[in-house]
Amino acid sequence: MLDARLRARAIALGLTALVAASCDELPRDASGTLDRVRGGVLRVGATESPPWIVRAAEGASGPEAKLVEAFASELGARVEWQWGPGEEHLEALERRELDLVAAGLTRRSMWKHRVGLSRPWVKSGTREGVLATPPGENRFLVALDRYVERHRSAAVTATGGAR
Amino acid sequence: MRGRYEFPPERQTDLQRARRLEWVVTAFNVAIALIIYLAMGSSQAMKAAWVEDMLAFVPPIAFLVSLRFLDREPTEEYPYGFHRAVSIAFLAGAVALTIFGLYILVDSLVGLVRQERPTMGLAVVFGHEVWSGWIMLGALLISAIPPFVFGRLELPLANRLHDKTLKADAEMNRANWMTASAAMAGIVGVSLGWWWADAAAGALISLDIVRDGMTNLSRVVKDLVDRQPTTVHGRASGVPAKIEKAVGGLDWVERVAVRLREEGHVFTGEVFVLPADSRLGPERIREATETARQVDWKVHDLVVTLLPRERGGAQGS
Repeated sequence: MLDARLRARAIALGLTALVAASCDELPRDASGTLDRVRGGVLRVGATESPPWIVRAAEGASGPEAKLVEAFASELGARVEWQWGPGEEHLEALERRELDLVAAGLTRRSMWKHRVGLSRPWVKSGTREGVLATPPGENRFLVALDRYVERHRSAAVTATGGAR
Repeated sequence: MRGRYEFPPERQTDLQRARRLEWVVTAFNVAIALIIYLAMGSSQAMKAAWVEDMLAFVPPIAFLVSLRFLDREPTEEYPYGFHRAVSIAFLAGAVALTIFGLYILVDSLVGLVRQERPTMGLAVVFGHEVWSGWIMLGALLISAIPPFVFGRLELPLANRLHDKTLKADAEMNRANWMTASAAMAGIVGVSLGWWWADAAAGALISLDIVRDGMTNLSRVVKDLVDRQPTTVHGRASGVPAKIEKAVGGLDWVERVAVRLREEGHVFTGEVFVLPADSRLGPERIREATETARQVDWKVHDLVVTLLPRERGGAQGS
C-alpha cells in the first residue's frame, strides 16, 4: 500500500516536472532563431523614427534602440544594425533574413498578420510601440515579450528622457 | 384531403425537446463565436474555427425557422401545405456544411502553399505570463465540448422525428468539435516548432467535413426531385413496400401499386388499387387510406385511386 502510494507520488512529481520542463522548453522556434542569436549576432533592421529610434554615429540612439541593445546583451549577442526603409525590412524579416525590426512600429501595423509583433514596450497615449520578429519564431518572440514585460516602465522613463 | 399535419403524441415531446435543444445550440454558438473572436491570434486553424462558428449558425436556425411552418394548414395559394420547408432547411444546412469544409480546406492549403507560419507571442493573464498558444488551446478545448454533446443529443431526435435538418446540424456539430481538435493538435505542433502542423491538421479534417457536406447535399437534391423516401441516414425507407403489403392484404384488393415522395418530415403520394370487384366505392377508399396510414406515422397525405377493371380480364396499373 505504502509502496503504491509512494509510486503514485513519484509519478505525479515526475509528470509535474515534465510539464514544468516542457513549459520552459515550449514553444520552440520553427527555425531556431533564439538559439542562433544567443551568444551570436542579432540582425536588426532599423528605420529612423524619432523620437523612438535615431541613427547615430555608432549604431543607434533613442529608447527603442536602447531596448534592442539591452535585449541583445541579455542574450549575449552583438547587434548588427542595418538601416533602410521599414517596408524593405519587414519583407526581409518575413523571409527570415533579419531577426528583428525596430522602426517605430505600433500594434496597429498592417504587418501584424505577416510577422510577429512583440508586446508593447512603450505606451504613450493610445500609441503602443512594438518590435517585429520573424514569423513562426515563437520562442524568440516569447523571450522578447518577457524582456519587454520586465522593462516596460524603464522604457517609459527613457522615453521621457529622450524628449 | 390535405389537412393540418400533426406529429403523433409520442413525437410531440421529441419535437419540443428538439426545439429547446436548437435554441440552446444557437445560444452556445453566439457565446463560442465571441470567445474565439476574443482569443483569435494569427493561427490558421483559429481563424477557421471562427468562420466555422458563423456557418454553424445556419442549421439550427434553419431548423427553428422550418418549425414555424410545420403545423400550418394548406391554403388556397399553397394547396400542398408547407412540409417542403423542412427540405429547404435541410438544403440550407447541407450547403453551410459543405461551404464550411471547403473554406477550411482552401484556407489550410493556401497556408501550406504560402508557408504561412503561425506566430503567437506572450499573453499576460491575471499577472501571469503565458504563451498565447496555451490560452488558445484552452479556448479551443472549451469550444469543442458543447458541439460534442449537442451532436450526441441531436442524432436520436433526428431519427425519431425524421428530421434531416437536425441530422445535418448533428453533422455540423461533429465537424465543429473535430475542427477544434485539429486546431488543438495544430497548436501543439506549432509549439514544437512545426509551422505546418496547424494547416496540415486543418486540411486533413476538412476532407472529412467536405465529404459529409457533399453527401448531405446530394441527399437533399435527390429528395427535392422526389425520389423514394429515405431514412435520415440516406437508406430506402421501405415504407412503399410495406403499404403495398398492407393494402394488398385487404380481401377486396386484387393488385396495388404505391408511389411515395418525401416532403420534409412526411411522406406523400398515391396508392393505385385494382379492386377484385369494380362495383366497390368510397368506403373502400377510406379503408385503404387508413390501412396505409397505419403503416408509418410519416405517411401523411395519400391519394387512393381505384383503377377500373378492363373488360375481358386485362389489368391496367
